[in-house]
Amino acid sequence: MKNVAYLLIALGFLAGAFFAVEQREGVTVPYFLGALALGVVGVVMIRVARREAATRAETIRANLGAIETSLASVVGKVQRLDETKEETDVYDLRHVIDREFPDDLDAFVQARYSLVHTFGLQSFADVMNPFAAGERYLNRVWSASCDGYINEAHDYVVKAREQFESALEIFRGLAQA
Amino acid sequence: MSGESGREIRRGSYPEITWPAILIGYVLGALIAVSIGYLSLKLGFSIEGSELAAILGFGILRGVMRRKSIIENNINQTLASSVNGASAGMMFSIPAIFILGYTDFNRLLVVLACMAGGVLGIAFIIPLRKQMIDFDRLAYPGGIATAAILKAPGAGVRKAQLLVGAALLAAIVHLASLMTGFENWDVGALLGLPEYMNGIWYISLLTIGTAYLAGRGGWFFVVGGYVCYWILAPLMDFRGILPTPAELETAGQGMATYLRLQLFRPVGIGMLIGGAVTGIALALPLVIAAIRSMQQAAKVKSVVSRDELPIRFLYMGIVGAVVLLAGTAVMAVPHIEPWRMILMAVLGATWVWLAGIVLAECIGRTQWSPLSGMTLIGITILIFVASGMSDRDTVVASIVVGAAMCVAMAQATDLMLDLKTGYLVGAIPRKQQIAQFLGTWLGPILIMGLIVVLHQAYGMGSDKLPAPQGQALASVIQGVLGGDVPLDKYLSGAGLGALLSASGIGGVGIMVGLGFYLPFNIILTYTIGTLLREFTDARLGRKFADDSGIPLAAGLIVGEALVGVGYSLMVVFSA
Repeated sequence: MKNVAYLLIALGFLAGAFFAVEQREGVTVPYFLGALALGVVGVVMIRVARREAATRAETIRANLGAIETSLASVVGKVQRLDETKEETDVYDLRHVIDREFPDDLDAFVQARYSLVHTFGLQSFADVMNPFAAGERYLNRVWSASCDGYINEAHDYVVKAREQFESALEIFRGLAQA
Repeated sequence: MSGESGREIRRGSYPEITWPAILIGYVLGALIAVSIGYLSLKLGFSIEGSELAAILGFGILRGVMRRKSIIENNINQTLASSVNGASAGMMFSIPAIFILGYTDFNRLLVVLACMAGGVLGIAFIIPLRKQMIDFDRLAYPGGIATAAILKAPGAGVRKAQLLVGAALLAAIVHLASLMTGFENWDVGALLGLPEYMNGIWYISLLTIGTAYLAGRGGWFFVVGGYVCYWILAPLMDFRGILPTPAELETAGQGMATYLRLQLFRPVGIGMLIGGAVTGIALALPLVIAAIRSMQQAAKVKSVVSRDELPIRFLYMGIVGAVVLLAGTAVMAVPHIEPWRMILMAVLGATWVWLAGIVLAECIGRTQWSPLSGMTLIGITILIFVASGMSDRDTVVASIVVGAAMCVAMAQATDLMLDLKTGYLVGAIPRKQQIAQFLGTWLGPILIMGLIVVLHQAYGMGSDKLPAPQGQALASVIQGVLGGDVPLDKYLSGAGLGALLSASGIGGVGIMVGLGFYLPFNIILTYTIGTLLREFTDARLGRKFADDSGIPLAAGLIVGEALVGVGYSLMVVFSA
């Protein structure tokens, strides 16, 4: 169904674009509207198909699982970073970040829109807010580590930890509700 | 104090918004704004200033002053590019007044209006940052490139080598291109393609680097261009409805230029608007959620809320926009009717917001900004409202208000790029927004001064100072005043853009519209970068992009942009 829907949108768009540009002045309105209507049918079909797919139990389970796993892993790693920061050379903190975090952060980012489908936009925003802040703080630790600012790097490891923990807590609250 | 590694360990606060960052930001911003402003009056195109500001600021703050703070560099670059933001905004609009001969307008009013416009653009971006950078995570290739420059000292020797090597290569290629005038390569003619297929490639490694950084976000932009020249144009040829040589001669344009300017571009502008309006309708719940989330965070005084400018700045911005534009209209034309003044102000403020979203989305996904198209539509709307007064009053009121809108749009997009960079280096958004505010007043003064001086010296629109963008706007204004507006093309384009955006694929209506709008030579070259990114991600994995591809691509952007500014400086000093 999805492929047919995309095909209708593409055909409707191409036909509509042709009728829009075929004359220097004016547009062949009946043909143009007909082409547009074809595309609108495709849009309706794709939206129905997407809603069905998004609300399918196994899809939701898989995506929410990916979110839980990646976020929990990030929290675990940032907690370890916090606990070992005093023993780690400040200039090495950024190497730990480069080595440990990108895959989990990326996995969360790839699955994040499942939050919208499952819990709605406001909940998505409520989780993304601390997640994005945590990631930005981690980036600040990277910068401070590069420049050797030890207090800043350590302070922002703590702040990043708080934000990621908050994101995980909100997510788990939503999942249990 | 030294650590185990023998390098100095620094205690205390991490320098961010500091006097050196601010003062050097002003100096660099002024230099870049004047250079790029002059370049756009001579050649008709503008360059985004963030990467240049970053690399120059990096050289001064780190190299000369031995200061060590990536986020201080970020503030410096944010402020400098904010000064330059007025350059793009004003160069699209103000020269048209001179070219149309209505030089008896109030220069000080224009400067004040543009300053205030810049402030409003910054305020309008507050909730968009959350939506586009934090939640939707748009790529902003220029922001990534700038972040790569700022992070170069800590990213390892290999990444730095790749960045510098690519920058050198791009600089050499661009320099050769500028010196020889070989800026486009007509591969289509070599292959025997028909002229309407427009197989001319833009010689620009910057374009390839940009596409690489944009990744999949650029695909639909590419598709838009191919639809025009490789599907619609051959179909028109098949139906025998391509323009005849006589029609082309009358229009004074070649086939490809005719197709783009008369047919594809107006539909593309309509698509940008239709795609944006539908995209806004679809994204509005997310924007509202972002605002609510910010309000909630502010209520409990969370750490995150202290990182942002309060959301009340947005509300003040909306009210301020209407008051500012109304005030500008009435001061530009004192006897303007109240209803006309209010309508211009409300439509103008709405347009700043709408166009700000279009531009932020376009630059976020592809790095190309349809600022001139958005300015064109904005001023056309204002002319419709203002028409009924004398031609002089209509033009002056519309362009002066339009210039303020244009600067607002330019500042909004510039700030979004800088905020993306800031995200990647861990800057605090509020401090970047303050730096942008601090820089926005200077650009209008410099650019207005530059325009007035150059107009007196050479005459705006003359052979020595062609001001192509101003001429284009002036001719459109004359067309609008004469009733020649391709409204049917705009409306049909809006329908097509709305159709694509309603499919739910992020930004697709705007991206395809941008492909209709921009010259195809850019899109052809852009395709190389898009394909390269697909290839390296599929065959070499995403780690290759992180370790090698992104520094290389960032280097290509930096090298070509630096030569572009160097060239413009040479033009300034040899004039």
